[in-house]
Amino acid sequence: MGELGIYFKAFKSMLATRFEYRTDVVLSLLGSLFYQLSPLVTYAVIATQVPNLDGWNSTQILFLFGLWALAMGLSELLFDRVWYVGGMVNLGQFDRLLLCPVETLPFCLVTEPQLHSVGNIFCGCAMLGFAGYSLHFAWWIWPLLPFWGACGAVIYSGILVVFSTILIVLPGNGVNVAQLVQQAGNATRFPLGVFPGAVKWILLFVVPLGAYQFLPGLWLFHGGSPVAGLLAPPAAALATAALAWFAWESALNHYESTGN
Amino acid sequence: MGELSLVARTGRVLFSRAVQGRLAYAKYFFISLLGFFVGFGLTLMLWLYVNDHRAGGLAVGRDDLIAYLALALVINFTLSLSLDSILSSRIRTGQVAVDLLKPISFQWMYFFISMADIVIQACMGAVVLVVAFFVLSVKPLRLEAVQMAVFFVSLVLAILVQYGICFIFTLGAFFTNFGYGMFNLRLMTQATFSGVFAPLLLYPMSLRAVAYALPFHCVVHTPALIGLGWVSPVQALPLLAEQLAWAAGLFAAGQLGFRWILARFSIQGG
Amino acid sequence: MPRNTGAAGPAIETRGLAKSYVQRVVQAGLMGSIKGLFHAEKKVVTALKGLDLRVERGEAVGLIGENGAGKSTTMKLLTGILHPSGGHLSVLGHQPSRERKLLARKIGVVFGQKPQLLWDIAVRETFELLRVMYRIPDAVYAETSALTAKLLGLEPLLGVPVRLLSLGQRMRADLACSFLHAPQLVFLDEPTIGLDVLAKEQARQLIKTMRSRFGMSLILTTHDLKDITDTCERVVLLDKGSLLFDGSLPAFEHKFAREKRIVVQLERPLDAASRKALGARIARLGGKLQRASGIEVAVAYERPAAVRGLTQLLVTKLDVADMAFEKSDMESIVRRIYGRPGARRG
Repeated sequence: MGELGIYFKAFKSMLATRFEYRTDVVLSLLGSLFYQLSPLVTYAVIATQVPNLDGWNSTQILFLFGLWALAMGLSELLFDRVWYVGGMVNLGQFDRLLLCPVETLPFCLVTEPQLHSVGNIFCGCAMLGFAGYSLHFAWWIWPLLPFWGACGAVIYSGILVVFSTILIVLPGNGVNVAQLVQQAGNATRFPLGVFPGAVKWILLFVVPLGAYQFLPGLWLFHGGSPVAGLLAPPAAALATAALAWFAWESALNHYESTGN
Repeated sequence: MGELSLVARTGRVLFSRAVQGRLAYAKYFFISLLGFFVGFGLTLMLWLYVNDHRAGGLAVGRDDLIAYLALALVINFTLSLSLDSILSSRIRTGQVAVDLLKPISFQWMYFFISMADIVIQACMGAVVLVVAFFVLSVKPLRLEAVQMAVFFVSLVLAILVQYGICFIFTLGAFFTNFGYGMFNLRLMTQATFSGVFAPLLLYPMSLRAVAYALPFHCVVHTPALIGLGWVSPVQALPLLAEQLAWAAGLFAAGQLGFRWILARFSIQGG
Repeated sequence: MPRNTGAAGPAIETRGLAKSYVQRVVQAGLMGSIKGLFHAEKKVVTALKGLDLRVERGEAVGLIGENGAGKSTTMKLLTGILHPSGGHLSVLGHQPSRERKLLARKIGVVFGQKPQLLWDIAVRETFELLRVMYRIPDAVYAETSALTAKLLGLEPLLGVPVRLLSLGQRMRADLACSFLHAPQLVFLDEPTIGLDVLAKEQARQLIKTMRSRFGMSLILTTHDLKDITDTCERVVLLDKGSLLFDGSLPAFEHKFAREKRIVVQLERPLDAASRKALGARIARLGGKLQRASGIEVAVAYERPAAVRGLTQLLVTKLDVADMAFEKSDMESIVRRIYGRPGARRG
């Protein structure tokens, strides 16, 4: 069995642990549904005030909501352990990770799958399905949706990894760091044109959380560049993944274990 | 009297140690602050866009909107407790057994520990509020002494309501043994109905009715209304009474629920 | 037939291995913590000061030292968790921190307080994951899993979720995890912590059996020194990050365990005056009255020449009901070493 097989086995084993807490799974699913519906409520409040945001109507905005929910759900399913790096370092569990005969970053990421991610993925698919149906998507756009969602999951997780490496070098509370990234991600549910130019630029090129949904949306609905719409998401995903790998490996060189 | 003094003394020590524990990770203190600025900034930018593009502006004026969002976000940030998240992890690993051996009420013990979060976050929130008002050129609030006093009482009651809500959700973690689901559920329900993203005045009628039926608005919306002077001290009295009723009800429900669960749950971890 | 003895080179070789790190020093109390938010003194702590160590393949070494002596730091450097601040380090021909993944496949590690079991699912599932992760050949897995299950009494526990196991059961299962891939070198950091007497014996038996079967090298740190006397033939003593002793168990005993004891059970207790007089006479004969409480008297001595006179004195002057000769155990030796003012430096 190759290294990928090991990650898959680890992922499966950890997924099995999630089914041990059945009541919690149900509540987590409810929680994730709320997580996606709550901003829709916020948007509903906004929609009662203005007919569109920067020229994007409600269905087009739902497309952005859907891709963010899908990306987030996939990230929670496949790479969620990045949220726990701080805790692992504080409790000494990071030592154990370093003793595994595998690449630590992918192994670490896949070993905390969350079942509530299904709620986010479901919401994402439902919103994308509704948006696609209402906007009469051509047949060839449909397979691009999961692709963009997957790119989004890599971008989001990659940025979380880069930020979480701070916790490897300087042990502390990991949730704060991850929440910072999540807040930026939440903002990309809305067309980036509503934010000032500098913020839009940051969300496209520095922490490219807007690259996988805003640029495709711009291409599909507002005559934006098809090259940017098609190539920017995978390019941003690859760049973020490479940066995450580099940051992680560099952080390991500075890791100081805690306690005995 | 002896019991009360024990609770107070132990509480003071617990609070002090909890603050020290949080300050030990100094760098993250500033990351929290940065995170808060990002969240506040993005929400504000969105609403300012909406305000600037609505014919005739919003029902709430631009300055009022900024002031409301700043205060609501600061209150929300100050009162955000990680109690249910921390406790659910202790329940999952069985460490909660150690807490149950302490000669002080479980509910009170975690109340004092939670106060450490609140005090630290209040300090950070105050910084944000001052910076936000200065940068956004919002005229400072001029509250009279009575209004200030009522606002302070409302904040204290908001803390109690928030703790009551968190504690009830924590009890759910005893029941589910993990707690993440409960935590997520609480967080999202609270985000939707507390009025942290927009004044409830801007909500459609049906959503507003749901928000008013739940306790979450007592944590953010009510103190924000009072703090901004949108209601007079006299008009604030029924709001304070509502906060008090929720705080007392949630505390009592927490006590009863905890007793009920203690008689039934088993500790994991051997 | 042991598998690991044929490989070339030592299992471990370090020269001048050093590790230091920076520690923030915050003043005590709440005000200290608040001040520490803006300014904290930084102190360089040297955990290991130039360690020279060579462990041959198949050798078993007990690493001892009091808390803060540098045992765990040494283990973490040898396993690749920490990067050294200086010196040379080679483990099974690899540089641990640079070739962590390659090395991890060949070593087994037990951190008594950091188990590798998956908390929420059955022990068997962790075993299965390790089988895949370490790419353990079927024949080896069949043998090691059977051996560990038998010697540690794990059969009834394999299907039980880890969170429902007692601390001792978890420790036993965790110990088994580190032996499943028949590693060439095993690091055991407090492997018997939390175990009862019987389980400790089972753990030691497992270590001995796996060593004799697979020719594993072993580095063991423990506060229960019987673990070392039972499973190791060599002792390395660390003190404040430096090597205080490195040699065989007999050499260790020769150097530090010269003291022996005569323990006498009396027919009736001694009164205070007799105790005082007895102490003085024992001192004149080169011994020391260690204990005289109730009906038990213990006399310590170092020179073998003193034993005849002391025995004679005790037999003639006391109403002896029973008598025994004892060597110092490891525990008391180490206690004495660290109790000695000269042993504490820095």
